[in-house]
Amino acid sequence: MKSSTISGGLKKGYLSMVILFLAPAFIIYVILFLFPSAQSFYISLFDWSGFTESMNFIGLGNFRELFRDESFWNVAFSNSMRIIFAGGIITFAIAFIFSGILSTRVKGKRFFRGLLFFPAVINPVAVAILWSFIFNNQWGLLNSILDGIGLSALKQVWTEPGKMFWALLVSLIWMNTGYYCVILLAGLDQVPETHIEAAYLEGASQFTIFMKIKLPLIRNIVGTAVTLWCINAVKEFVLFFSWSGGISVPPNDATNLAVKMFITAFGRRTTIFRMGYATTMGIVMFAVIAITIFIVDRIFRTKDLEY
Amino acid sequence: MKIVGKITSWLGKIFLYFWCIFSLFSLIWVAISALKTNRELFGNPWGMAEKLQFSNFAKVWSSYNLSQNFYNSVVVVAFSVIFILIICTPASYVLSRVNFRGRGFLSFLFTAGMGIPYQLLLIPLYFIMFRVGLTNTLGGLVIVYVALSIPFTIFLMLGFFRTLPSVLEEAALIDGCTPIQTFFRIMLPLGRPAVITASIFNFLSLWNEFLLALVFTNDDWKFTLSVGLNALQTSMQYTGDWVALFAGIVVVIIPTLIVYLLLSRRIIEGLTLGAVKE
Repeated sequence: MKSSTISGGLKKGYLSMVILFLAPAFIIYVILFLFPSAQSFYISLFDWSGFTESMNFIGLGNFRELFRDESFWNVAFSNSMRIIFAGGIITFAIAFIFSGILSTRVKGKRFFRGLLFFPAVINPVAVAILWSFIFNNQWGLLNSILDGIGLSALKQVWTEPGKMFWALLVSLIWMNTGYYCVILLAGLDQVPETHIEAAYLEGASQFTIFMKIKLPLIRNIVGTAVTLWCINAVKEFVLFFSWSGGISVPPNDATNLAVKMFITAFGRRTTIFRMGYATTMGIVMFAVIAITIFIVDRIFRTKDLEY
Repeated sequence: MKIVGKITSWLGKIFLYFWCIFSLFSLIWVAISALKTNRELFGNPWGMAEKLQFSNFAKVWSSYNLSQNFYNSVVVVAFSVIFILIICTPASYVLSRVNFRGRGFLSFLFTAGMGIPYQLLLIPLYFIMFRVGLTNTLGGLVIVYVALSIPFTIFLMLGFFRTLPSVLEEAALIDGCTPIQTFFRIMLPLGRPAVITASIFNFLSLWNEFLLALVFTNDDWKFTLSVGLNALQTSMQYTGDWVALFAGIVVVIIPTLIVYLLLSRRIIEGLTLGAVKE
């Protein structure tokens, strides 16, 4: 670190540059990012419809109401939890398999990597449209495939309440797995060749090499990837909100924390405008992320990892 | 054990091929369907079009407002990326190269923002913008985009600038350059990879951005592509014009596709740089 900085920081001439270069970013960041974040905590103590001047101070009333709000816990929160855990486990299982395969010397690795990653850069609205068409029960692709291969008995109304969530989860997994796979792959590629070759020469299979050598060594990166997943899973909004056109309020199956909060604040056809209450949800989301980051850090981070 | 291993990796490879073929196929399918008529689509989703219906694209571009949305997206994203670079590059440079008091704290302050979901600050931010009359404007959206992109962009650039050796600055100083001249003449050109990576990343995430655009624009001629596409989907519920909707998807995806085909390696490397560097 020392060799990459200019020593004697506040020398004449540097101070003005530091201030000049930092000021725009700092000012914008404080006013439009940090300050609103702090304001959230303040607003959550009020009952407020946002556009009127009157804010009723109700202390922790919003939080108390939230604790008792079934539609929040049973629907939004539980869906978000299902996304994080069920979605996360499946996504990472697939990501591990793919990155494990690609980290051995496979032909066309770059091509596969590029193709796997691509769904993550497609506009999520487009992904929602595509997959809701696949799962459509009248003319959807999935049901027509099942017809075609003689499994008509398995045809379902995939967008039924109860099933729609899983359809959404499948499309979410399709969209995101490549991203996490690529991160894991980058980590796996960093494992020194020498270890792998030594094991190979001693007769270990690629599978054993993966499980016993590569995996343990990328523990930190796995931790980072899991953290990223948890953060993104809590923030996930677009896919759920724009599924099936969203003419009115998204159905329960398509409601997660982010969607619920948006509807409470800005509504859809029926606007609710409960800003104080919605802000409370935002705080819960933030708390979930903070707790998750803390737990994941405990599980995955090891300090001395020497190759 | 060895046989289990062999079967697993064999199955895994098949799964990988299947997954990739599926992804490729679904995209091609959307493109093909965008060239059909609705009757052809519902009659046989797997068939080819009899005559290529480029009219779908014309329709979605003009009468469904998508051209306006496209234009909005281009303008908003271009200005956002430019402003992000203008304010973040000097800041990251100074944070990484000049040893001043409070530097560590400031660096932490900026990058910690990455852990804050923007939902936490969305509502207060909305009302701040509302009070200055910048809601439902594209300019307001640009400002919001810039502010929310600061944490990650600074994080990315900080990591990069730290890797440059300091001998260059010292040499420049000996040669008589002022610190600011040193930045513009030497370090900035060297920092080009970071600038390019940051531009690409911000372009991709802002081009596909939905929630903020939805909140900060209300008139449909101000919508960006994401919101416009969603509005298109909503109206399609009434018109049943799926093929036009698919044409809309193609229009939305094409810029991303072009950028991706040209730059996928750099994109992937840039995105994993932050995650993998320890």
